[in-house]
Amino acid sequence: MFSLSISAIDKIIFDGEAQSLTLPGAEGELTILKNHIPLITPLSKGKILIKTGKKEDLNFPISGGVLEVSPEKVTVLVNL
Amino acid sequence: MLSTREAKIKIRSINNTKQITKAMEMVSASKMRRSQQVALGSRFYCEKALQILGNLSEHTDYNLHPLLKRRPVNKVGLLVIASDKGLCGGLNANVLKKAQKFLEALPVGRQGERADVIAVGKRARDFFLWRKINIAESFIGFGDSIKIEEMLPIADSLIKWYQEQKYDSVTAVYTKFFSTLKQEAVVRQILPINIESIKEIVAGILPERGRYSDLKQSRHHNYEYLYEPSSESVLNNLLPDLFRIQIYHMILESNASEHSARMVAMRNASDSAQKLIEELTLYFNKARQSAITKEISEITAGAEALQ
Repeated sequence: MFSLSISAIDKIIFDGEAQSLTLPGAEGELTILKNHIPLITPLSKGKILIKTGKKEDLNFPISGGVLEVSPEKVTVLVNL
Repeated sequence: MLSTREAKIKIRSINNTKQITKAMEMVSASKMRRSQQVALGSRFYCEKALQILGNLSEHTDYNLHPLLKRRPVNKVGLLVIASDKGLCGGLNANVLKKAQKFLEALPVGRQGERADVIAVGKRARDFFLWRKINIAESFIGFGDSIKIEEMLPIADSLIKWYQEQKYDSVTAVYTKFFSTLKQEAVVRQILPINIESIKEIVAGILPERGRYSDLKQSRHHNYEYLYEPSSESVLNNLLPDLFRIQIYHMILESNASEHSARMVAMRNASDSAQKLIEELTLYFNKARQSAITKEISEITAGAEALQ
């Protein structure tokens, strides 16, 4: 599990623990797991999928954004 | 002097007005709070974006980016943010006065050729229409709606015009929100983008004192990040977003200012209505009493005369 927060310009969409995060990077789809190296990359249009370890996974479409992975937290800024 | 009947009618009508101004005061108060709350919602995003930008600055010379680079100014775009409705004290007058002063201070040539106005709010549009100053586009109906999607067209057309070199610099005039009692019209250059001024605006909507004023800054970390595919592409993504947020915040701030100015104006109106009612009631009671006294003395005088 790692700590994840996803926010759009006007609100916070997700803030909590997640097992994995799959999103559309500028260079193709990528999945973030625990202990990923620090990374900053723009996102393209597509779908975000969050596996929280609970029964239901979260997923929603985005039109762009930026992903930041730091050792203690994964942050996604999205444009809906 | 008024008759007792006229005084009574007047008291009733002032009372009605007072009820209306009182209601408007309440409505404005809650709308103001909502504008502030919405501004808070975008705070996290802004801080994060600025932080990433801070990290980026160590890898790229971001002053070379087209949205940040200065160029000689031929034509200026002036974004004027006013409200749609009146009844809010000197708020709109202050903004429009500042805007006009800015236009008059532009060097040489007729104003229409050196600058266009982009008007937000009916008051701004009507003001410049009436003065025959060229309006590139006007946006109306942001008074209460505070959804970011509705404000995106403004930011996007500004960026487009700037990139097409229609304008070489864009300046905004809006009302800065200090507190419920203090708002000020400010002039600020927004294109080319100035990172410092974005920081200021993001921090700006929180009042200097009172509710929300004690929110703390988030901590800042710096790691060796991997940039994929390149730091430039991240920059290309972030900058327009930050610009949109800047516009969004300016409109939110103008909104919060509008509502608090209206709240104060309406409170003053209710107070003076109350004062008028008191004066009139006193007058009415005195008039009524003297009429009764007069009647009684007439009756007793009549009775006396009969004896």
